[in-house]
Amino acid sequence: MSMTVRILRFAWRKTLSLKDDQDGAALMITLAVFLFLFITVLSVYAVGDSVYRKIRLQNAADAAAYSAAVVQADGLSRMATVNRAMSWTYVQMTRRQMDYITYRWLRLTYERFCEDSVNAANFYSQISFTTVDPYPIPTYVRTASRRFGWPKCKSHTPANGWWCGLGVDRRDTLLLNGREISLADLQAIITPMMVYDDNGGMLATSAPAPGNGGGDDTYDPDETAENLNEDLKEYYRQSGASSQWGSYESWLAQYGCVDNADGTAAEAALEKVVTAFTTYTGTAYEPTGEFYEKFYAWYQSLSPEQRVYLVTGVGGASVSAGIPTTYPAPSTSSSSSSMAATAGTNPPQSVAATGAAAGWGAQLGRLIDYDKSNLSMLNLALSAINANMYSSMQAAAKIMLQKNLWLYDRNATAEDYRYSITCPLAMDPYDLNSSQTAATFFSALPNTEAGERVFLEMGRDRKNWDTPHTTLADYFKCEIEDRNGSRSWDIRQDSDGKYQTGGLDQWMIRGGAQYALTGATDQDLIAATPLSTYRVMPGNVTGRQNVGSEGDFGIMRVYKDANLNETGEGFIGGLHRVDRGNHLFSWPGKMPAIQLAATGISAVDSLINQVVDSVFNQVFSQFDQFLDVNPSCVNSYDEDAVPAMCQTVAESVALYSQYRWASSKWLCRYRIKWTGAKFRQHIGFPKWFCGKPHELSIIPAIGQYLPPLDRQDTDGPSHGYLEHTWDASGMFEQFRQLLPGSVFSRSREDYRSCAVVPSNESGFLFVGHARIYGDDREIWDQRYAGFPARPWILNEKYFNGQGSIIIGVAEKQTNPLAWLLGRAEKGWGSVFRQPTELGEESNYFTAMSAARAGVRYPHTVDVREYAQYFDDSAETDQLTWRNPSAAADLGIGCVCVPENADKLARQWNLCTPDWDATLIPLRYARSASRNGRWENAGGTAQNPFLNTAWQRLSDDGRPALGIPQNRVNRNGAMEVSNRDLLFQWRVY
Amino acid sequence: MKKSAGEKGTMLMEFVLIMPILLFLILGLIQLSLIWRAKFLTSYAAYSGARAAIVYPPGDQETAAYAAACLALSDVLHPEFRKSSVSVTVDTAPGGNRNGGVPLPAVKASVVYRYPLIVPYVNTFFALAGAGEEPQWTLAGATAPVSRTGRGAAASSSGGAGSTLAVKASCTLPCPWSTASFPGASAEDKQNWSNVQP
Repeated sequence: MSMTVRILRFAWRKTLSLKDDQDGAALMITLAVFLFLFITVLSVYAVGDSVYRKIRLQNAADAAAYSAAVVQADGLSRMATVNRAMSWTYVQMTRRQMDYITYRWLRLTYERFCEDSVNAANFYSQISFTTVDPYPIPTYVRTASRRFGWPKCKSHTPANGWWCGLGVDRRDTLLLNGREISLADLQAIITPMMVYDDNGGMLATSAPAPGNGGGDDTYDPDETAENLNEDLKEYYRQSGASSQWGSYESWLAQYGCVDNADGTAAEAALEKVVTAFTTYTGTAYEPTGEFYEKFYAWYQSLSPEQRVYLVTGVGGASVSAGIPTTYPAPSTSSSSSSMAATAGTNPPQSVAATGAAAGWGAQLGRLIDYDKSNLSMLNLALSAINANMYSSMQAAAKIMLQKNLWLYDRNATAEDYRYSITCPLAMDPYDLNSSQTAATFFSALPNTEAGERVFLEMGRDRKNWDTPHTTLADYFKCEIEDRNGSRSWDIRQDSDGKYQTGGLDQWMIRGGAQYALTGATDQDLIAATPLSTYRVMPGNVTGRQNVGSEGDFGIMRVYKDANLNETGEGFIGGLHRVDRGNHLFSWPGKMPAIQLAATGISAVDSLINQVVDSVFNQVFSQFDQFLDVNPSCVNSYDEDAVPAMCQTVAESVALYSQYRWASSKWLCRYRIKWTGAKFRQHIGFPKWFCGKPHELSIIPAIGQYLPPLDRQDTDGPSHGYLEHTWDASGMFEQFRQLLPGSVFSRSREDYRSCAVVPSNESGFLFVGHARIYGDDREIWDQRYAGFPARPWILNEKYFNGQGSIIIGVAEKQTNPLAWLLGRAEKGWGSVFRQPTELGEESNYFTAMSAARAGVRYPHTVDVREYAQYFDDSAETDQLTWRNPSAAADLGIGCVCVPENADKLARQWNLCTPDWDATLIPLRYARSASRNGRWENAGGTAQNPFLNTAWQRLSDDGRPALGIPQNRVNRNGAMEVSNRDLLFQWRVY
Repeated sequence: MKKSAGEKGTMLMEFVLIMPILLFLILGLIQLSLIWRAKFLTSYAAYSGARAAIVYPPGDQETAAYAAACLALSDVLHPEFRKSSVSVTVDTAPGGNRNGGVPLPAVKASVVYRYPLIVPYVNTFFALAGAGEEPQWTLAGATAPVSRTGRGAAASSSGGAGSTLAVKASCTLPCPWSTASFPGASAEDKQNWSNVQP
C-alpha cells in the first residue's frame, strides 16, 4: 500500500467523521464561501490580465505591420520618384534625339538637294527626249510625251516642291516644310551645327556653298537649265522643227504651258491623241481602246528589269552625259577656331537657343548618350529599391516585435512568443515570362504609344489635372494657327479648350500618313486606283477637301504597337489599319495578294489584277530586305544594337522607341487622262507640327523656316498629325507595286526617278519618285534609338491582397488559472480559453494585423487620405478612345480627354511619392479591393497564414534579412509548413 | 461537554444579526467582481471598437466598431451577453476641444455596456450606487434592454433585480490616415456583423 493511498484513506475517514461533529459546520461554510470569493476575485485578475495581454499583443502586431508598411510606403515613394525622374529623362532624351535627328536630317537634305537638282534636270531631259534607250518607250508614249511636254511646265510652280527648286529660275530655293528657304540660308543654318561630327571630331567648317563649286561635280542651276534648254533645242532640231523651236520658252508658249494656267490647252491637245485609243461611252472614256490594249500588252511583255526601266523612266541616273549625277558630301577641311571654345562642353540650352554655339548640333549625340546611360541606371534603381524594400519590411516587422514583446519582457524565453511575418514580394515585371507576370503586382509598361502617354503623364502636375505640367507643356508649345488665321504661342488645345499633352508625337514629325481623299479633284483618280486604298491615315476625317498626303514620310517614332488600330479604319481596304512605324512595310505574311484581292483589288480590272499580283509577289517577297524605309526590326541592319525593338509585343520592354525617318521626294506626277492631260506637281516633304520649334528647342534657327501649323481641319483636333495639303497621295503605293524588291537598293547610286504606272480607268500615271530615304546608313546611328525606359506600375493585384503585410504574433499563456478555468468554450471562464489555432502549441494568445501602403490621390492633397483599392475603371478598355465631340481621333486613352485623365489619375499610382502606411482589415488583407469596396475572393476569406511557418521570437540579435522561411513564391502562394494558423473570424 | 441553552440562543442571535451583513458583503463582493470583470471587458471592447474603426471608411466605422465590441464582450460573457445592451459611438476627430480645435489624428470609440446586475439583494444597491456621482456607473435600470430572454429575462422580471449598470469605457487609437478612401465592408460581412449575437 502506497503512501498516497494511506493518506487518501485517512482523509476519507476524517471527512466521514465530520458529519458527526457539528463544531466545524460554520468553518466549512465559511471556507466554501471564501474559496468562492477567492476564485471570483482571481477571475477579475485573470480577465484584466488577459485583456492587458491581448491589447498589448495586438498593439505589437499593429506596430510591426505598420512599421513594415511604412517601409513599403517609403519604397514605393522612392520608386515613384524614380519613375518620375525616368519620365523626365526620357523626355529630355527625346528632345535631344529630335534635335539630333533634325540636325542630321537637314544636313543630308542640303547635300542631297544639290545632288537631286542635278538629277531632276537629268530626268526631265531624258524622260521625253532621249532617243537612245535600252528599252525604248513605245512611240506613242514618246509621242505623247513630246506632244504634251514633259518638261516642267506647271509642275514646278512655287510652293510645291524642293526637288528641283522652286522653279526654273529659282532652283536655288527649296521648299522645306512648306516654307521657302534658299540654299544659302540653309547652309547658314547647318554650318554652325556641323562644326564637329557626331563623335566630336571635326567634320567641316561649313556646308559647301551651293552652285559655286564649279566643275561637273557641282550643281549649278543656271548651267543645268542651259543644258536642258540645249537638249530640248537639239531634240526638236533633229526632229525637223528646229526653225520653229528657237528657244525653250517659245516652245512652252506654243503649247500653252505658260499662258494657260489651268492646263486646258495641253489637255485639249492630249485629248486628240488619247481619244484615238479610247472609247467614249457617253459618260466617260473607257480605257478599252487601242491604246489601252496595246499599252498593257506591251507592258506585260516586258521582263521585270524592263518594267523597272519603264517605271524609272530612264533606267538610271547616268544616262545623260555631261550632266553630273552625283554631288559630293561636304568634305572635311580645315579646323575651326570655335572648336576649342566648345569642344568637350555640353551646349548650354540658353546659348544653343540663340544659335550662337557652333557645333552644338553635333554634340547632342553625347548628351543623348548621357540620357541613355541615366535611363539604364534608373531602371536598375527600381529593381534595387524593390529588392531592398522587401528585406527591409521583414526586418522592420521583426524588430518591432522584438522591441515590443520579447525585449519588453525580461523574463521571456524563446518559447514565449511566436510570430509570422508575411511581406509582399514582387518580381521585376520586366524579367518575367507571361505566367509570372500574372503573379506579380508590378506591371511593366508596354512599349506602345498608349504606354508612352501613361509614362509621360507621370511627370504631370497631379494636383490639377486640367493643367499640364509646366515644364512638360513647354515642350509642346508652338505657334499654332487657328482656323481664323490668328496665331498664338501656346500649348495645343482641343476643341474643348483642353490642353493636349498626348505625347511627344505632337511635336514630332510623323509620317507615312495620308488622309482620305475627298473632293472632285484628281484625287478621285487616286481614290479609284486600286492601290490607293492603302491609306495609312484615318479615312473618316470628313470635311477635308483635297487633303492628301501628310507629307509622305517624316521622322517617325516606332513602337511595338505601331499597327494598333486607332480609329477603326485601317490600312488595307476594309481592314483600314492605321499603319505606321515598324510594321509599315513588313509585307510578307501581312499583305498577300489574295488578301488584296479580298479587300478591293478584285474589283478592278482582271488585267490589273494579274499585274498587281505578279508584281506583288516579286516586290513584297524582297521588300523587307531591300527597302531603306522599312523600319521593322527584322530589317534593321543594326539589329544587334537595338535588340529590344525586336522582341514581340508579348515580351515587350517598355518605351523603347526608335526614330526612323524617311522622306520621299516626288519628282513628278503626270496624270494622263483620256480626257486630257493634267499636270500636277507633287513634291512633298515632311512638315513640322509647329510653326516654330518648341520653346526650349535648341534649333530655333530652323524654326523660322518651318511652316506654321496649317489647321485646315475644321473638325477639331487631329491628334497632332501633320496637317497640310499635299496631293502626292497614292503615288508611292502605286509605284512600289510595280517594283521588284531588288530595285530598292540602299545604295544611293541606284537612283530611280520616275514611274509610269498603268491605271485601270483613267489612263496611266507617270509618277516621279526620287528616292525614299529612311534609316539612311549615312546618318543613322544608335542615337536614333533610345534606351528602354522601364517604369514600374502597381497593378490591381497589389490592392487585391498581394501587397498586404500580415503579421501574426502569439504569446504563451502564463496565467496558472488558465489550467483551472480555461476549459470553457464560452462564458465565465472562457477568458482563459486557450486558442487552438497553433495546433499542439495551443497555450497561446494570438493577435494578427494587416497593413499596406496606400497612395494619396490628387484630390486628397490636403488630406491624409490614402486609397487602398484599385480603380479598375481606368483600365484600358474603360477609357475613352476618341473624343466624341470631334471627328478626329485623339488616341487611345488620351489624357487630353478629361474623363480619361480622371480615371487614369487613380491608376497611375506610382508616379507620386505620396505613399504612406495604413492598417487594413486583416479580413481583407487577402481579398480583393476594387472600386472602393472589399470583395472576398471566391466568397470565402483567405487564410493569410495558411501553410505559414511560425517562428520563435528568439534573441538572435538582429533579425535575419533576406528571404525568410515564409516567403511568397512567384505564384503568390505560401510555401508549405507544418504549422497552420486557421484564419479566425474577426472584424479587424 | 454540554452547551447551555443560552449559549445556543446567543449563537443563533449572532448568526441572525451577522448573517445579512455577511451575506451582503459576500454577495456584494461577488457582484463587484462581476462588475470589475465587465469593466475590463468593456475596456477591451472599446479597444476592439477603436481598432476596427481605424480600418474602415466613415460609412462603416460605427458598424464595424459595434461588431468588434460585441464580439469582444460576447466572447467572454456568453451566454449572459446581449448585443442590445451595447452601444458604441465613434469619434473620428477626438480631442478637438482640448487641443484648440485641432482634432487629433486618432479615432475614439466609446462603449456603453448596460451590464445586468444579477446578484440578488445587492444588485439594487449597486444600481443605486452607480446612480451617484461616479459618472461611469450610472443607473440604467429603467432602460433595461428590451429583448432579453432566458435567465436575464427572468431576472429582469423580478422587480428591482433587473437593474443594469451602464459600464462605460472608451479607447483612442492613433489613426494618422484618413479612411475616407478605404474600401467599405462587403454586404456579406455587414450581415455577419449584424449576426454578432450569442
